[in-house]
Amino acid sequence: MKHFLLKASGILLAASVIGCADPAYDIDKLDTAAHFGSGDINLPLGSTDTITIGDLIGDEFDEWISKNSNGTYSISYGSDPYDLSFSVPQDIDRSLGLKRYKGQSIDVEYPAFSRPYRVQFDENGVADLSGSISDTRKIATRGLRLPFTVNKMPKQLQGLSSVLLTDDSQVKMTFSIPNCMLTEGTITPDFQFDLHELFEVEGYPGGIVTFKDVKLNSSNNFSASKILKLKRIVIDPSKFNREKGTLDIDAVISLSGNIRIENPKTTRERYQQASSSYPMKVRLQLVNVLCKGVEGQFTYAVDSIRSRLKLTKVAQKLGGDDAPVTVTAPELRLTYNSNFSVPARAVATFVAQRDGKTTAQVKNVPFDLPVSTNGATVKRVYRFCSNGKSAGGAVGVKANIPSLFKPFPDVIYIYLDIATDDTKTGIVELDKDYDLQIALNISSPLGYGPGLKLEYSDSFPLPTVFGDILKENRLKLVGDITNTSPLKLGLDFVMTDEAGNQLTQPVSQEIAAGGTTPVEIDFGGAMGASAKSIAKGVLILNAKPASSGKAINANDYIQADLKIQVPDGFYFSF
Amino acid sequence: MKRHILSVAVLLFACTLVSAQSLRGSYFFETSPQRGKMNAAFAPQVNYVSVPLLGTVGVETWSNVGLGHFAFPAGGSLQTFMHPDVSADSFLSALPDGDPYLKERLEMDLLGGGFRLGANGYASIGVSLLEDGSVLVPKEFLRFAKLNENGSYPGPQVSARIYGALSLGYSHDFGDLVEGLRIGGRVKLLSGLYAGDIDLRKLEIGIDAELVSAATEGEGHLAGISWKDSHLRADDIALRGFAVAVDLGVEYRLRLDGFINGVNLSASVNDLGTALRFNKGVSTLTTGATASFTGLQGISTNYDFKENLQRVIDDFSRLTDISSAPAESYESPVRPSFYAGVEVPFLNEMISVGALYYRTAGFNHLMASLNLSPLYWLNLSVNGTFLGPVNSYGCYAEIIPKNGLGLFFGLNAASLKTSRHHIPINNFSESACLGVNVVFGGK
Repeated sequence: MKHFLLKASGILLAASVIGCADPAYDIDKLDTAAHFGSGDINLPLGSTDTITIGDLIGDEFDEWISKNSNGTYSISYGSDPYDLSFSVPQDIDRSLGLKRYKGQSIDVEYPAFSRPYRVQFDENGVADLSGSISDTRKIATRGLRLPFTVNKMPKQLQGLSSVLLTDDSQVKMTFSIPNCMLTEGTITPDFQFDLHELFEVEGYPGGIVTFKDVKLNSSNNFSASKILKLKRIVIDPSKFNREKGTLDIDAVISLSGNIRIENPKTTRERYQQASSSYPMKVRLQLVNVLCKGVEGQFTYAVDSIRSRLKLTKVAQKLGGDDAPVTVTAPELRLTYNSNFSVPARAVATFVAQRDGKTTAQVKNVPFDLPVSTNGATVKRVYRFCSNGKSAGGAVGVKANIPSLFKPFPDVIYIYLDIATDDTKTGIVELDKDYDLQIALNISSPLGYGPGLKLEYSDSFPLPTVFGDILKENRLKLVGDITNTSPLKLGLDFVMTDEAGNQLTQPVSQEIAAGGTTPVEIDFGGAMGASAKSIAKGVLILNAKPASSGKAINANDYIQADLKIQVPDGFYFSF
Repeated sequence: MKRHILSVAVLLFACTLVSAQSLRGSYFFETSPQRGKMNAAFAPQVNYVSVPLLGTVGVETWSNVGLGHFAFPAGGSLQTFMHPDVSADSFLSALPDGDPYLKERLEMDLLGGGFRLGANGYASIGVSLLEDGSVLVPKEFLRFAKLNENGSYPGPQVSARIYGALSLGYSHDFGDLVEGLRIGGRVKLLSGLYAGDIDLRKLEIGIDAELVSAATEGEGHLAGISWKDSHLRADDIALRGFAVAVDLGVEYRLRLDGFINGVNLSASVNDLGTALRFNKGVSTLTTGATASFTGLQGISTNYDFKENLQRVIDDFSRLTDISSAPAESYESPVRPSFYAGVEVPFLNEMISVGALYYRTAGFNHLMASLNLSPLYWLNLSVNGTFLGPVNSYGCYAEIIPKNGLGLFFGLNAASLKTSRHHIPINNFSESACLGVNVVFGGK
């Protein structure tokens, strides 16, 4: 029995302890492939700063390129000023035919008062004549003819309005009562001197001069003068003979009014020596009546002006079919400075040349020139452009200037013909030198040129986990790229090893201009072992303008908001 | 004799290779000195002195999961649960109801002995070194690992400790009062040497196109171990904690005439006492950080990808940073265990069947055992354990002469199915014990 139990015990023990190894569970055959994620895994990658066009362009340009406050760029390139001086013919008879009156005087007399018969003297021998002499005596109106002829009027003079007199042209009027019996009292020549048919007198717009301010008394020995400053000779335009260049003047000046006597007194001695009557003598003397200039309508032409704007340096940068940057809305600005006082018109012709050959012309663009009113220099800036609108104080003149820039010239000539406008009145001063200065300038916003090839490349280190992921996974970059510029962008991305050897085919993405483009950059399927060598990412950004000529704006930007998508989750091994 | 010994030795050797048996297999052998560890009332029929360091060496490990829960054969290879071809449903549905765990326990008697004391008494003394540890991985955490759904998950828990035990026991035969009644008790002084635990309470993960975020929160303790430069370093060995526990046991043997020789009833409660309180070299561990990533911002032409990516990696690396701070004390629980057995011997007690209910480490077990003692000096048993986290089978063999060198060896295993590398495929419970004692004074 014991023997049996011993054997049975052994069998039970063995049966209980002998296990079985399942060959299916062989750790040596462990498949370490693993998967994380129940679907697509989306992870944030990041956002870029707004990379502006200004960042890409930088801040160093030629001095003729400027960045505007609104972010646009423009060029302003000018020529040296062109100066011209000219004067009108000087052989005009400056004395205006009044030479014969020079040094002579025109004398007229008017009865002032008579000696009274009965005079009552006081104890001092002084007699008050207020009751004996009329205090007002009307004088007879008298006309004076002043005929003269002005010869050698400028032949360019088409019509005449007036003759300007030099500043020292004047008439001296002298009133006197010689040997006057009065010892006291005031005699006033209350006259109206009508000069309006002949002269324009300073201070007397109507041409009628009065002399109430002239007082004759014993202190001035009853003699006083008044100087009348003459500004111009008023003429009858019909008297101007344009054919002969002569002006016949036969104007009448007249004198009328009263002689007023106040508080007249005399002495016995003077009374006893007195004449029977006392006239007032009026003497008119012309002093330096000289012609300074003439006002009228002129036919006058300045020699044709030719100026040029050399654009060689600009053309090197902005010209040509392969120019990355070009002008978008070119305009030519003409700065005009002149003291010319005759209304005039100018006609401009622009000729563009390249390599000595004319490439485009804009002919016969008329515009009015400003008139100097007081001899001072006036300045005006003209803006020759396609829409002809005035802007920024510049007067717009419509001209197809952009046509001059197709192709971009290396020089632009401006031919300027200036001629007076004989339908308008102007002034020509005989001794005046007229100056004229013009300067030509091109200005334009800058735009992307047809040959723009903007390429930006940057490499950056990639973490080793990136290679680990790509070893067994498909990876995508998804997100949005906002591009406010008018550039169509091409984005290429490749991955390299540390030495820069390309490990992946470039993946490309086009980014539309002026908007937000959803992007999906697929790095392709699992790369296998080569992914372990991934060390760098190389990003290449290509740009070309959506349409040539769009304005460059430094504030335009590119901004990316990207996420990583791992389709169907992460596959990895451990 | 030599032939028998050789046969058993071969069998025992075979056991070491393929399966297991537990020390609990000795429960129903009244000559075995080991059974007293489970019930303080038990008094072996021999005196003994353990061979230093070899009196009892026991190793036990169990888990409610096995390799088969995490690896799946397919096409000649073994795919992990993370493999894309392994469906989430097949992985998750195979997991046990509770959270998967792995526990282990090691016990070594440094010195020990037992001897009769007077006519009815039996005294025992022992100095032991014990180690236990566990790893718990919440199912929710595994669910995240497979499904990767955003959310908040509890994280793994890890604990381990090493402590010594000085035990003094006494068993008294109260047959004078009640025939077959024996009561015993044992006092244990537990002294902590090393301990550590960490509980990653929360792991929050959120992954979407706009935000990747993660947060951790955890706490732990160390005693006799330092956390420095992200490494654990054991301090010099020292007594750092203390606990008192008692074992109480009772045995009642009812003798019968006939084929059945009697009925033996026994019950005990062990390790009833205080928690093991460490108060030297104690530190707390904390981990907790949040990290988020919304994408690299402000990428520009001069952007330093390497530096900024490294910053993100550093942020997320901090999630696992653990910081340590000195602490006053740290209590590690000592869980009582309970045993209740019934044995029916027959054929002159050469054979018996027994049933043992026991509760240890929070689990209930019921072991059925067939026990053979064909020779006085030989104990053999096979047993099966039910209830509990896993059903297991075991064997036990013991050579226990009246005088001389006594040997025992036990193994227990839940699953006979292993991988080629002897990793249990299903949930398992493996334990092994062996010991060498010098016995004398056998009756």
